[in-house]
Amino acid sequence: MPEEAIYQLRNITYHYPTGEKALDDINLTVYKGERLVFLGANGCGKSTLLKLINGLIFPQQGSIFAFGEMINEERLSREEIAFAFRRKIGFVFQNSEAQLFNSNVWNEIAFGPIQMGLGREEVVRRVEEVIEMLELGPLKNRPPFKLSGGEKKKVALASVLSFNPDILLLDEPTNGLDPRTQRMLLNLIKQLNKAGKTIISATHNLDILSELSDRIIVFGEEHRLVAEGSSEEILSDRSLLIKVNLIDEEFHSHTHGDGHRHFHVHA
Amino acid sequence: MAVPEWLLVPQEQISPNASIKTSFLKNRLRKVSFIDKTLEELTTVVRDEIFSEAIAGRDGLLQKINPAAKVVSIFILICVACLIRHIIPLLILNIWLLLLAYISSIPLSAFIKRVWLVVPLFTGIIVFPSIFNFIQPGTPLLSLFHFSQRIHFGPWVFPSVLAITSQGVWGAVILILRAGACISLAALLTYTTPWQSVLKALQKVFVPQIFVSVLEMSYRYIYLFLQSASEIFTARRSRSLGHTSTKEQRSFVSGAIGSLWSKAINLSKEIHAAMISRGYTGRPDTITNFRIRTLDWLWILFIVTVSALLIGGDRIFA
Amino acid sequence: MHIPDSYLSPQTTVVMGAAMLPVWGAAVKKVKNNLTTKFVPLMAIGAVFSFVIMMFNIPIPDGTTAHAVGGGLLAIILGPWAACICISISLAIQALFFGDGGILAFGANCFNIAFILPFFAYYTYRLIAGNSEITSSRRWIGGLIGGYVGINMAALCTAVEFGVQPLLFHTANGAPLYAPYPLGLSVPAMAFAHLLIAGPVEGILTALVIRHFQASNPSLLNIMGNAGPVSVYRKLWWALGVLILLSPLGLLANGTAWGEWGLDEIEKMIGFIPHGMQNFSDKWHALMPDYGLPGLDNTLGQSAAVYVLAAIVGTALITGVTLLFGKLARSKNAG
Repeated sequence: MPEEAIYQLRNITYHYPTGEKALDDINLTVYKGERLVFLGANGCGKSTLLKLINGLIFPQQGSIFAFGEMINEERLSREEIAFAFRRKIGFVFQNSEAQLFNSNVWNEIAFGPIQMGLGREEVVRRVEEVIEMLELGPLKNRPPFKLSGGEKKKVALASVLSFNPDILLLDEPTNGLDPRTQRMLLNLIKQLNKAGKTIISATHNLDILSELSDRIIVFGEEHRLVAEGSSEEILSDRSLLIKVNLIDEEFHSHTHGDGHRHFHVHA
Repeated sequence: MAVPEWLLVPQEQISPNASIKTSFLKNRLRKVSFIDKTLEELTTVVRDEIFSEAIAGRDGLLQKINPAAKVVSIFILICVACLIRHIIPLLILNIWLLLLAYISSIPLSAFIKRVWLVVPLFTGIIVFPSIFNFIQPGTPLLSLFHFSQRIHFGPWVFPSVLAITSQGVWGAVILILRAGACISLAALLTYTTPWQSVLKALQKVFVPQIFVSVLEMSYRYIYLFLQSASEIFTARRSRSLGHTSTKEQRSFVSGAIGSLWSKAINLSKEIHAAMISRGYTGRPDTITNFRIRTLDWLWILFIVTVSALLIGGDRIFA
Repeated sequence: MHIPDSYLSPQTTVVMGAAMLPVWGAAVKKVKNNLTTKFVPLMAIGAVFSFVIMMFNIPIPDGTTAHAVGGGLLAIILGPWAACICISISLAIQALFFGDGGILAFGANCFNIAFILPFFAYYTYRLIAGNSEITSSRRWIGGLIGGYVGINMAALCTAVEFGVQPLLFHTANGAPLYAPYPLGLSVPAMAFAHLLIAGPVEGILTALVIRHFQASNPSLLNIMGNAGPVSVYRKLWWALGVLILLSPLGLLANGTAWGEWGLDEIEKMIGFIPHGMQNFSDKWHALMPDYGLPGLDNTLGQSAAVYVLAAIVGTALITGVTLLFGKLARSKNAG
């Protein structure tokens, strides 16, 4: 089908301030409304790529175009451009502790809408509705240190959804979640995607790939893109997964009746 | 990965007769690690502070007062406590504060413990020497000891009679009562107000938003940091057996502080990214819905009257 | 070194607080210009760090422990202005939520611990470290001496603040109203504790952590980027200037409570009595002749009776209104 490209990354190379390489010559296009997953082992640079996409860090080489416009440090330092850009993108960080920097859940969810300049009534309405949707009512006056890991992740998601971004960036969304919360999260993501939102996630969790993705991009340990395909294609390529250090020889895969493929180890 | 052989057999037994080793352990027990104590105490305090939010949610007088009005009134009353110079008005003030605690549903036993166990201990010890005439000459109240002559000790001269002076005792009692009142007032504020409201109130009253924002974020991360500091020390305790030298302990402390700092810097970078990502442009902004009601105005009026009565009483009658 | 409320007279705390206002203003301006959006998260986390550090105890050879302020360290890694903000915030949290250090005495505590300490520590450090390599031993030696100097200067200020109290504020018969120890006692006492124990601890701690960073992660010593060539002396003089400006506090020690001069003393000081004051004073005396109620002779028994009666009426009034407020608040809640 004809798809609208919202992001174009060309020849992106990024080094950490220490000089260590994080991303090497990345070329990538993101289409509107798709579910895209960056798959790779720990430290392959997938989180760094999410930060580049959000304009939180900037590459030393290469260029990023978002919604047809160039994204760089100089342009994003202009407030009106930063405003228009940031409100389109919501980033759920891997470390909820850092993401939840406000003093309680309500303020956390309200932070984005307030900063984006929504009116007071609108802020209150949105916060209350997001709280209701994610069943956070009993938590709304709690400080973050009184939340469980799953609750923190939910609040982090709520804090991003409250300003209704078109693109959601999720870094290891299901890490540390119990099965039930994980299910809830995956269902919500599916629903948001149906409503037209673009979902870009980074993960090393093979079990959630098929639910999280239309398209997968695989990162190698040398910080380059090594493969691209649907979850079925990627999961059936055992040698690829071994090559990028996601599994080793001991893993086996099963395909269930519904076509869901799943890797595990026999003791 | 090759697992070393010794890891695959059960741990060696320590013979209970090994006297050297047990003396080692005794030594260690005696010197309960220098820092565990403070950290544990502190984590308890933090938890208590958090628990005290339960009192803030109770139905009581001070809980009903607008936090901004409350902050102002507490501030006025601390000034009053510091301006009073006589015992009777200070006593009246302290008893009235107990009454306030009572009708604010603060358990009196906890309140009295927090104020009147701590204050005489700390302030009491500090002012204790000042009741003697060698610190502050004055009218003797009780002569304790007669020396044959004045004693010269460097620049200091000790009088020939060691006595407790009435001025000294009077000053000490005033100081303890006043410290009690000040601590009571601070406790009343923290017991009856959720900390976020305290911060919002500060912002309403005299403190610039930028300070309040920093304060708010600091408070939010204190618990996390105490936890990680605690973890560093617990991890060390579980690994170290026997006595460690002062030198080792010092290098451990500096290492712990170092790693805490690098953790802190990384965390602040992540928080910054998370803030920027949600549209932060350097102007912190919050929604407050404080309403100052008639009750609050009446309360402030009442506090001002009480203050005037106490100070007036102090200056004129006492 | 945290001064609780009630040790300093309100007048002193007002002066100290007023002295801190321009410092805070300048600190926010300077640091915020450098950091822009990073200001809030970095200062907040710096404050948490200083809060936790103030909880750290460090063993000293005789087996006891001393607690370190860590202000010197913070000043070296973040610069003195940022350290001033971080320590002030952490002092505020301690005063507001942990009852450690007074609310009224907040200005004084900030002056000693958040201003004098980091500035003296930092400029001593810069003086010794100069523009040496980040791994040079001049750095940790600078930290050692900087931490030592910083905490001792802070202790000296604290001792002076304490020490002027009995001179400035006492009753007619000489009983002290606030901290009871005069300069001759408070300064040696604080100096002893800090020159011999707390100072070395602070210095050694600062040096050890600097060495730790030099070995493990030198970039952490340079968070704020290079401070550039520092005009060490100018800034040091500036800090000293503030101190000198504040010293009249000590010179006003004439045996009367500061700010409560009698009219003749005001006349002596400024050469004349403001007219309004004279008027007011006459009226006041007419109303309250010699601290008694008008129309009553000052016989002991009578005055005592009046005092007791007034006290009882006043107290009963206060109690009654307080209980009324309790009722009012409760009914509001029900409604």
